[in-house]
Amino acid sequence: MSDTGNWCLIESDPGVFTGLIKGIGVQGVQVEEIYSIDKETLEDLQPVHGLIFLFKWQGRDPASATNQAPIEYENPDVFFAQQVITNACATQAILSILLNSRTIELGEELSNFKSFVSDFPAEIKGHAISNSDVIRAVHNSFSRSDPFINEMSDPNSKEKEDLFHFIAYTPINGCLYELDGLQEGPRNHGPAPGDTWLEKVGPIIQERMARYEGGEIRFNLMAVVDDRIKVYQEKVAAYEGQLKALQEKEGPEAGAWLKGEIENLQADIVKEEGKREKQARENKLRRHNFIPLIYEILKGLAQEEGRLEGLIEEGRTRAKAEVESAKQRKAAAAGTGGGGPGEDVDMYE
Amino acid sequence: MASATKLPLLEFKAGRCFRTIGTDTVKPDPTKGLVYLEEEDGLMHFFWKNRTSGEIEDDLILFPGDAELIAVPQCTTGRVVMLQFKSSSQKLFYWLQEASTARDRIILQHVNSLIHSQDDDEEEYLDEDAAMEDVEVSSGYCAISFAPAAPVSSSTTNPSTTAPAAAAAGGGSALTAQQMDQLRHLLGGLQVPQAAQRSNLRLDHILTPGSVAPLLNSPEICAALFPHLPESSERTPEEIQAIVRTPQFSQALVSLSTALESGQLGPLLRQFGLGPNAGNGVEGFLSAIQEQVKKDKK
Repeated sequence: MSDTGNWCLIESDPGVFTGLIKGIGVQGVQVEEIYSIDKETLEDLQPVHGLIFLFKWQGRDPASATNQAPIEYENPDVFFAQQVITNACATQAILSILLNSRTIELGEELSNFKSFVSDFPAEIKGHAISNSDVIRAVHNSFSRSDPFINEMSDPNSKEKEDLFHFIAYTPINGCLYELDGLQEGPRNHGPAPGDTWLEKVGPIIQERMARYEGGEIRFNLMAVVDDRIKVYQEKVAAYEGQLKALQEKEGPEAGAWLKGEIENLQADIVKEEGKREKQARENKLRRHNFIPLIYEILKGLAQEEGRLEGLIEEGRTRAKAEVESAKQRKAAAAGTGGGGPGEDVDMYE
Repeated sequence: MASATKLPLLEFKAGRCFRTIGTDTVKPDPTKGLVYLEEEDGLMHFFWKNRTSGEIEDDLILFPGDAELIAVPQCTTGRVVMLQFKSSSQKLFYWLQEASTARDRIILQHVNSLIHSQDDDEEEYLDEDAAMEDVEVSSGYCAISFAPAAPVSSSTTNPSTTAPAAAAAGGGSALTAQQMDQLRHLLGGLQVPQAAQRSNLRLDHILTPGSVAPLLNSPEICAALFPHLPESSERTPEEIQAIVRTPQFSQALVSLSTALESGQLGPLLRQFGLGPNAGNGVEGFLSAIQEQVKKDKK
């Protein structure tokens, strides 16, 4: 789990995932973060191609191993790849959904990849993903050194960093599958024809969350859905058709509720466009090389006698205060008065 | 889980030694460790892994000919070795933990030949190493052997890098786009060796929205900053202020600080026209910039 193999960590963010999918050449889908797995939320987002669930990795589910859904080792209809690179897991979860979909347009790049690896065993599929220059290049273009920056901000922390893991849930051939690259194969949660998998998946994810002792809040749930603007536009067109038919029958005053629906959808389109602009800007900033800007700002601050010196002095005070408060937090968490003056003791652990 | 996709060029068991504060002596730390050299993206990495925890605690980049691993003459057992950098005053100490001392000298020779001849074919060393019994090469790692880039055509444009801003307008910074990318790439994969940390000061302690704001009243300074904003950003002081407030900018400050503290950026920072001190942590970087500005004013 420790090798990064040149795959950077990427942020768990719908804008990043959407950009990643587009970057690999897949059209017409986007990723939405969801905060609730009830039926209404998911139905609002229809059609949903799959869910990506992020959670803190705690090893291989020892306690509940008995009531797990069975692993299907050989099923040619399911694309399953074992994960060989830790940092690739977000991309791997996304690919699990894309490559198992019958409806998503994969584009040339990913279609070629899919047919190239189709006969490989799961482990080699995983290696093929990690060795794909294109997938890796797109993944790394969203790199950021850590998705949970708070964990990183204390570089002296010797505590183990938490590992996070992404898994995918998606319907394949009328069954709900759990695709987890750290398992030996896909888990089949049983028949769920049509959209019924959306009802089935909620309790499964909730049960997973419940395994964590209280206080663990770092879960993330994303849905791979159809391009929202396209969905809204199609609905508008359908409502407009209905409205026209209704008005021809009952006169121009008819169909007020349809007009209301159309207005709501148009407002949704504007909102979605605003959101995309914001995501595009954030992605641009993620990719930007800020080093020259930082260097020039520091040079600017050094122009005026004493200004940078003053800021450095303030910065040192701030850094010190941070270290102090981190120590206090640690001492409080340990429930004791702290370790006394022997600061290097833990080196010998 | 087998996840390494490439072979280390060389590995040997070794622990670390730390300087006893306030003295010129180093003391071996009993933790079991493993040193290994690996090439990543054309850069030679020197790793030290804790064999007990399995964690990589030192990750240093060795530029060709910039470092040397030598036996410390003052050490009576002869098993304490020092990795000495030519471009900086950084020294790291290790003690060999291989059961037999018979190959100690060969290990040093191998490390040094790898540092010096990074462009040569790696295979050569692997073959030689295979004949050496004490120096374990790639044990426990799995190598895979199909063509990596085969599944996908290379016809699409590579979206991984946006063109970096043009090198700084005037003022001694002359990094090429390629060097900038290399520098940026380094930032992605660096770990801070615990022993090399000098200070807790980070650039985000200094470059806050509040400290940058007064600068933006100067049209000259703004003009110097505009070329380094992301493409298609507005060229206005307000935009600079907005960018300084973004989490992405803060993240860049933290990454650069981490990289500076690793002590491995010296050679690249010198290409900004900064003095030799620039690679010496955040403090060194800041004082090198101050010196540079003072010199430019004269």
